[in-house]
Amino acid sequence: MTASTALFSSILNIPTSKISNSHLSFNHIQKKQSFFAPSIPISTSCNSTAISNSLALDHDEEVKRAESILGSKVRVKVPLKVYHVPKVPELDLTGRVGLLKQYVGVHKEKRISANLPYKVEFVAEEISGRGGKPIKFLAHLREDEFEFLD
Amino acid sequence: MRALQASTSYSAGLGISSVAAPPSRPRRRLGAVAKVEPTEKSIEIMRKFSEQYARKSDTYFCVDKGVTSVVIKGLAEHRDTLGAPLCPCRHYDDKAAEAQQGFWNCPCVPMRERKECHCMLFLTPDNDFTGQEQAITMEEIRETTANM
Repeated sequence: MTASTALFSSILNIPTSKISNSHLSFNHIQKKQSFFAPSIPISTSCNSTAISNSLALDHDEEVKRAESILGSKVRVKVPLKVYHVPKVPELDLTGRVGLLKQYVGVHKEKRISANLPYKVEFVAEEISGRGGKPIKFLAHLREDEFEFLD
Repeated sequence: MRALQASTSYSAGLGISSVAAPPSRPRRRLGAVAKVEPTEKSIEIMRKFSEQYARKSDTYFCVDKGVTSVVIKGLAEHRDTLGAPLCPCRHYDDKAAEAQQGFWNCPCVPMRERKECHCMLFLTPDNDFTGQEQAITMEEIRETTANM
């Protein structure tokens, strides 16, 4: 029992035993936390599981991120041509703005290996479909092919 | 390689063993998965599909018809085993899920939207390996895949 704890206990009317104990335990907890602070995977000996775990984490993170950005306006930032739009043999999508509609990297909780997982809906104003209305079409894009318009 | 595996698996199934060793050894040497030859019907269906889609998309088969044949056979095999012609040139974690989802069902999304076929089944005219033909016969498929 040190002089300071005796002083504190007299001022605060707290039993000295409690102060000293909590002081000690707090230090102990701090030391423990600093020891576990670095984010190194515990199983460093088994590299493959560490890698596969990190890949699975990346994919889950990607899925969550994709779900959070659905519905946002995006613009195509790379030169891109598509050939699947009805009545238009070849259509340049560079610079067009669309709406992010769906992420197809997961299907019924199973991972899908699609390399163009983001489905974006575009409206082709210059082309008129039946009855003079502009055509809507979907295109699949990679994450690095579009940017957000916020 | 595939034909070799197929013929051995057939002979093992029929009980005619040209290999003197006990049945377990050749199977182990060939690996855990025995590759089965696709049915003639499926190959014919995928052959017709490939010809028709090449015409429709203004693409051409490879100069080397062996490439075209292998891909057509791969598509036929997936059609037999999964019910859908999943792209044979890719690796999948869960083939059934992929076949259901449909991104890689031939014609896959990159082909449909961007005319990008990494199997080299459908090649655009500006490709280095594009041939002049949009047709392939059953005979050509058999010939070019006979030594596998």
